[in-house]
Amino acid sequence: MKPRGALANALKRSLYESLDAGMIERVAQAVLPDYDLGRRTGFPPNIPVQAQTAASRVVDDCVAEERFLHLVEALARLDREGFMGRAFRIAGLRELSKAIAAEGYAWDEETSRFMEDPRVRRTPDWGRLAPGEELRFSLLRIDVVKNSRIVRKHGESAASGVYDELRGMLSRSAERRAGRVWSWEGDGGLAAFLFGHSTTSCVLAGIALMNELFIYNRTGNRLGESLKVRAAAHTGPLRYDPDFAGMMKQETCREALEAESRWTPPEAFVITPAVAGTLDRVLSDRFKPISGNGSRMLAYDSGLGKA
Amino acid sequence: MRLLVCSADPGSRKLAAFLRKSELSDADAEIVSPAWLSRSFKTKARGAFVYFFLPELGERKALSLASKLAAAEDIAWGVMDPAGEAEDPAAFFFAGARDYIGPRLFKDGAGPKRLAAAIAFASARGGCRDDPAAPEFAGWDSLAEGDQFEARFCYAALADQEGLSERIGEKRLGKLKDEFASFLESWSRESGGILWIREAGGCLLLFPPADAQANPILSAFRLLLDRVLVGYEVFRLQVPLSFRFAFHAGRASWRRRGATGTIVSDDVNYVFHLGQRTESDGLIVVSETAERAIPACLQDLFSRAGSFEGRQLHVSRRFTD
Repeated sequence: MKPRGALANALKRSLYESLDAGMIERVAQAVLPDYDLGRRTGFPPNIPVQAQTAASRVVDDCVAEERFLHLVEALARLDREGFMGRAFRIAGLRELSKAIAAEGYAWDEETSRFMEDPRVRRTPDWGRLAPGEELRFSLLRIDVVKNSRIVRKHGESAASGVYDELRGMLSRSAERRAGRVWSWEGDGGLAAFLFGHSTTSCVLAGIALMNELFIYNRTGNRLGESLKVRAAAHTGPLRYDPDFAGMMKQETCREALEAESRWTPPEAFVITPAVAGTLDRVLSDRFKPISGNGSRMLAYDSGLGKA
Repeated sequence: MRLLVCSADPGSRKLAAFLRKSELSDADAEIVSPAWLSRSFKTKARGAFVYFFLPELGERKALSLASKLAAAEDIAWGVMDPAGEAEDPAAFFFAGARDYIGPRLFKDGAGPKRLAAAIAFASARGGCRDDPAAPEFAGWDSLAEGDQFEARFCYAALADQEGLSERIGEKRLGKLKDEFASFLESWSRESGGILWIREAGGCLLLFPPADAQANPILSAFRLLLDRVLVGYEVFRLQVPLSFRFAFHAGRASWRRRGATGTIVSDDVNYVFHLGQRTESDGLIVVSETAERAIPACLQDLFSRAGSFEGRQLHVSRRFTD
């Protein structure tokens, strides 16, 4: 997020009115590791830096490195939790929050972060990732089973109408849990999760999607036959790249694709061992080993008894 | 949902073979004559899905009957064309048809899912309501103290409350029950319902006698399907959560919520008894009086399961953890 001048100035004021230069540097280090205020300002170590100068430098640097929201979040944390047992009161935090909300970012209590307000916009980078930034993402990959047969049997127009509805289900289930649909290839796609407990959100979105599809196949599906998908959840590190084709070549994306295409039976939602290990027991207990295919994947069991 | 097939020859072997292949019994699909349909559609075919059997009727007669049906907004219609004799099947859709069963589908038989999809398609476009004969419901606010009213009663409760009490403690269970009651209050609103009476074990909800909004049994089924999400995301529980639902249609005397006192009604008594049975955990149990409320799209997931206090029961497949 690139803040307007007035917003950046308000943050500078909050910083120098609330903290001394040493503490401002510490806050900056929480956002930009190894941040050296002396080096950045050019002041030699024997000359103290004024709080006002420190605040101005830190805010400008954070804006330049697309870390403005991270800096405000670090201040909010300091205000709430203090530092080394000492309480800090940050002046103007509420006003800052309001001004940021006006820019389309809402404070999320769950993750203690500013998130893109989904009512204003939904961008693939949540409005806050920088290209090249390496983070742990959780991915939900889905694909329609026997797409070619469906298109041949029902025609392209009927099939694409139903696939559009599937895409809507993926968007709803992912975006409700702060995920983003990164790609859609007509008969399948990929959603990504980053914030909060991203693996949990990813798995919950997968369950929600499978449940919604179950009901859709009985109520709204105009094909006259069940739409079957394979869905897989995986997690791992990724370097964020706005060019999604490039990002798909990274190992974690390739593993997610492989988990879906190679190891997932039709009409199943599976999780990889990397995901299973991070889940609360109440969720992981809903997944059972897949018998017979020799993989270590676990498949979701809705618990609906047989006739 | 009533399925009617209009044919000039009710004994048609072709038609009988199709119904057999489609797993439709005599009770599921009724064959009626064109004369009967012309005479009685306003009174006896309300809410039905009518198929015109083309070999016996011909295109012109089918379209003429269909134009008559337009006078009843809640009847949907489609065409069965086993020989592919229709010159332009799209013409039926231009005239308002909701389905077309062509030669191939007719030969193989349309399964219950295929027919359910046609019915769902028709319902979404305004025809073919599940319970059209019921009068329009004026709303709970229109009832005065002591008024007799008809409703679909639903007893909803948390499943395995004893097990929950052991796992999360009596105090947390008490709080969970409060949260569940508030949840049910907003949940029932989506189907035009209200939470009427709350007791220690569960809640009694009221739904209008016919679907004005979402079907309550479909909503209950969704809730059971989504129980993992609801337990984890809504109630933030670290233990499995499930529910049980009992539906029964009947009458009672209106009392304001919160001041219901003792209600003298056989139907209310019955649904309490039915809903309190813990062997129904993970199930939707529907008494014969509410059977019509089971939506067509879920009918294959319900089966007859004996009777309770003299009334036949229909029970959904069980959700287990």
